Amino acid sequence: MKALERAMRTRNIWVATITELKRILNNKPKFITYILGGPVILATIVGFVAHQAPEAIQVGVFINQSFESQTVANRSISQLIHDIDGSNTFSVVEVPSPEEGLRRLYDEDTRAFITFNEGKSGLESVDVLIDIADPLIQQTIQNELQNFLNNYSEDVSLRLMNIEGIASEKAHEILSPFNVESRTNARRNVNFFDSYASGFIILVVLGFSLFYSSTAITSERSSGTIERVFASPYGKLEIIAGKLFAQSVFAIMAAILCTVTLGVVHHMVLGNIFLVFLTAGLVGINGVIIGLVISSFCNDEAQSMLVAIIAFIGFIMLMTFLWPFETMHPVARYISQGIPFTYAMDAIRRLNLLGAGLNDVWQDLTILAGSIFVLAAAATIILRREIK
Amino acid sequence: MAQITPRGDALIQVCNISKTFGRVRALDSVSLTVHRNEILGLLGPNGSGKTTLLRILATIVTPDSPSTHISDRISCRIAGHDIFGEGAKVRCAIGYVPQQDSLYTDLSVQDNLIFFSTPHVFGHKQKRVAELLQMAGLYDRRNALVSTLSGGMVKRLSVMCALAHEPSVMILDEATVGLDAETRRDIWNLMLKLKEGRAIITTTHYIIEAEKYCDRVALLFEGKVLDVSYPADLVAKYPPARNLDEAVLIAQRSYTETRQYRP
Repeated sequence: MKALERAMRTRNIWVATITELKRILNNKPKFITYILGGPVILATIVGFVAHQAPEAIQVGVFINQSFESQTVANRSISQLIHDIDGSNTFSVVEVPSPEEGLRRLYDEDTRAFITFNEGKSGLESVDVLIDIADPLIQQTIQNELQNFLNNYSEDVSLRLMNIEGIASEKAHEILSPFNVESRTNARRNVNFFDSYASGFIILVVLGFSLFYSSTAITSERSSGTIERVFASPYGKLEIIAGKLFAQSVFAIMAAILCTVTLGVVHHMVLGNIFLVFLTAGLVGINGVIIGLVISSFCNDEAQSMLVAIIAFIGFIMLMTFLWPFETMHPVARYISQGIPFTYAMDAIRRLNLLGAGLNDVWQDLTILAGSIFVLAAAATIILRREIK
Repeated sequence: MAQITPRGDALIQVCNISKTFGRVRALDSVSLTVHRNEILGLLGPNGSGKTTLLRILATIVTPDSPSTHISDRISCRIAGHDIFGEGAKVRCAIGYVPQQDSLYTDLSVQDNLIFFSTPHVFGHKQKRVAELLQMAGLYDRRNALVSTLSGGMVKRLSVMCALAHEPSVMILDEATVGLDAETRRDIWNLMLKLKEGRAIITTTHYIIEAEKYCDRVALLFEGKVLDVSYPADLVAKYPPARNLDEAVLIAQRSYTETRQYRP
């Protein structure tokens, strides 16, 4: 008897899933614009918006020579400056004196003033003066210039200072929430765009799946179909599971489309492609089930959409896309750790920017998979089998 | 209350059921019984509690919980199952047609039938679906989207979706609303066919039709059952009413006046 009941439940879930799939596919305008077109269009747009940002930043350069000119060390520094100038990131303006360098920085002719301090054995340190109100330049200097210096020598220290003379870390701590990590150096071909695009995949997939599913049940409350479903023997778990499975298919599709668009159109650096798809797919399924949780307790579509927007903004703030974990208030850190998308962000950055493998991200992926079951249980419990 | 002669065993037994939404008492100690082979029509103005009562019977609105000292006097049983503790069994025994058509307009006729018949029918589902399509006269339109059907077709499909598992109790909320006279007659004739072996409870604003097709009618007003009886008995009970329409109005007026002068 129990086996028969189980078989009927499984069959109910299967039919509910197929029905939901057909409903999505039959609604062609929504399917094409929302599920297929949306991720592709957004991924295409973001590449054009963010692709150009760090290129050709004007920097003033001064070589602080304490020794005879034309030494081997000096020639080597000149070569380094030449390499920096030849990169897409910086455009170098050599200045005759520190005063001239500062004047150009104050006049905003340049966005940084770099002083190469030469010692007996070659380049000893590099001082960089920047405008603290320009977080992009700090990130670029730390990522890109450090890259050049590492190629030159392991011993050279890079000091960032703002134009007021306060050590950059201190000033930065006071004025800006950005605390840029330099781990992108792990893969030489990673550029500024890639570090944002990795997070953007999570953002797009989450957004589409969350907003799509957040009205799954409330729209049926409005149309009245849920009234008939509630009066039928379909169980709450079967209703939730049917919607979850069907919408997850499209969330995974959105994840793949978004990633492929970024890779093909903008040549984004991607890690293990299977793991990237897996991570983005799990994010999509998490987005769907969170949307279903929202849809389960809201009374109408407007209310569920509003809650979904608030949740989405909260996730953006807390999942370390905009601000890193280290800058958060301790309470916010705890909340951030409770959000599955924080782990997704960590996983996808490791995969794409560090070239990590399954050994490095399995814990993140396990948390993402586990949260689906927890949230599905929550949605089933929360869903009220009642009409108001 | 008029004498009720049972025509079969009681499949719907409602005893002292109440429902309060905030400060509004939608149902106030409602009691009624519907027997096998019988159509009971619920009549009353908008807001009288008809839909609330049907939704309680369909287990999608929970009635006010009975307090312990009167719990033995409050009950609601559908086909022998208590709605307070056996909701799942009740849902297997009923066929519910909501006021809105409540069908997936973005699905085909056949897919709607398959979806709503699935949890009930195990095996030979396609055969049952084909039978229902024939019965509704929609076999040729089985692959059409519901959004492309006429109002009458949608209503017939709506009834068929509730009928897929051959329930012993049918609950229909304004099944003929918004339909032309001929289609309404078709729906009523369908109900007359379906009542054999079943108990049917339905609401309607077409009192003349209720008089013609329902075996008994219940007058619901401000959440209370004013009367339950055969249509002819009700007309006789409220002189000078010449038909059920007038009897309903007189019954409501009489109740309002009585309440007004109640100390």
